[in-house]
Amino acid sequence: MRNYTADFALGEEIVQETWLGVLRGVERFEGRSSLRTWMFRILINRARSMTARESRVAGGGSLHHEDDSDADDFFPEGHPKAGKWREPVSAWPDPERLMLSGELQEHIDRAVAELPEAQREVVSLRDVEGVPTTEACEVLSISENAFRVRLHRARTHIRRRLAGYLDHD
Amino acid sequence: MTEDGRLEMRCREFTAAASDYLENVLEPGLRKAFEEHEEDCVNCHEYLDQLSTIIRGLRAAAHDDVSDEERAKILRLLNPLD
Repeated sequence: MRNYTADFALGEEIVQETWLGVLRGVERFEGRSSLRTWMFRILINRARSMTARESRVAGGGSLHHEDDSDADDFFPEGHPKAGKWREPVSAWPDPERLMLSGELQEHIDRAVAELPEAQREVVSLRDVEGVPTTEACEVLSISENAFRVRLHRARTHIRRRLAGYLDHD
Repeated sequence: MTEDGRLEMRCREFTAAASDYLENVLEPGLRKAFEEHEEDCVNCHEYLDQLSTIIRGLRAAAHDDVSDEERAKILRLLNPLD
């Protein structure tokens, strides 16, 4: 949940709203999905309406980098090295140490916060919460194909941002 | 395709398939081409490593404020049949 919205206080509020939604709605819960799926759906809906409200209040949406295409990383078609990396992919300095120091986390959080909402939802459910794909698709009401495309874009964006920070360390 | 009919993958296609590979949803032919490319290409090997690091980092974020034990207990309560 922490990764779902950029704003910690907003995240807390969404969690509280979700619990209220669960308490109010539990009598109507018909067991057609698992309780967990149902709760995630309430959480997502609350988060969607509250982040929409926040961005209206703030007078605009957050910064979205829609173009996450990797095309520029490779030699173009027609070039003798077409489809190969233009620049070598350099190893990141000791990922374990980065993880322990919290540095990796900080960069990841920042990159997740920049994602368009649809991608942030997918990466939060799948990678942060570890929800299985079929269940996550049910929560979000999207096809597995759409899910995979969003997940790919989200992960690609995060990697690109991290590479930007870490390659220059 | 190579001359002997194998599916050949370039770095660009490798990166496009990497997330699906980690989700274990690549069809067998693609999976094989993907793994062969990774063995031969230092850059793509590194790329895949970076993606895995990110996914581990994302997963760790969920565990920041709740202990593994508490988390398992909550998930069991939510979904007793799992």
